[in-house]
Amino acid sequence: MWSYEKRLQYPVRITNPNPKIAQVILSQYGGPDGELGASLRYLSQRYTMPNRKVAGLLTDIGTEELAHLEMISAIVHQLTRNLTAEEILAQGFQNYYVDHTAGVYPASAAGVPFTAAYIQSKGDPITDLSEDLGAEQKARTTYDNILRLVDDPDVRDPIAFLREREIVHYQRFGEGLRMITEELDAKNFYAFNPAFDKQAR
Amino acid sequence: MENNMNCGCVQNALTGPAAMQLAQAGFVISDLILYLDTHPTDQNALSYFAAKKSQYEQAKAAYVQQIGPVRISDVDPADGWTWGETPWPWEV
Repeated sequence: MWSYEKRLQYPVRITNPNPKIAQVILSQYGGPDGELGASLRYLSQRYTMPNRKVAGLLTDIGTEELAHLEMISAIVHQLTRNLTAEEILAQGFQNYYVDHTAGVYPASAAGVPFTAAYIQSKGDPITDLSEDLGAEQKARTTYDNILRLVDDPDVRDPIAFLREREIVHYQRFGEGLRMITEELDAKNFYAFNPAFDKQAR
Repeated sequence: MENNMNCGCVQNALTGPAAMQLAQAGFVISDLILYLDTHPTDQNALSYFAAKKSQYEQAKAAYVQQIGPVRISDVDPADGWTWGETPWPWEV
């Protein structure tokens, strides 16, 4: 189960609201390659991961992604404070605002609500870890894209931290994939699915 | 939510020295446990974990004493229900 610590993994302190950028960053909350998808994906995959150490990895990275979800929502929240009607319109924030005011809602920058279709939990360790490697790179690219658009150092700082974490997660999932394959038949990794088949078919 | 809190109070709670010590000690552990998940027999990493765990406990104890609870189990009922009284981590 989960325990909550009343702190962010990395501090977020943004003094200048900017709803236009908030809407972009929102994609890392509820978008296709965002932290909500990441946490749900890893926490869902861990049940059928027969290797206990890798199940531990999925649990721990999935939990860290929840902490990242919290950082992204803190960033979006701090960027959308004290807005006036003029600012909302001038910064093109009106479409999100009309449906959510300044509430934090899991959608992409384009306004597509979060869907489980963004993730897969395939019940096959090689497949699941391969999915996870891809997910971490997609998230990293998204952070790269955000960094190109943002000048404010208060925003760049936590975003750069989150980007670095994706790279570390990619490394760990690579190690996890190696651990899984080392337990399989070296002549044929696909002889059976260790999460489902009782033995090689 | 009291947005008109004394700004010094919110800032100290979230980014003051006690908060930063806790954040740093906590992060080292978050990162280290992932390494240990995939390198569970690395003795150097295990010793490092022992050292950092104790550093984290000290940083957390200092934060709880100076500012307020980090986990709900840190709440001392003699002080009242402080859980909702101290700044939340997303406040400015």
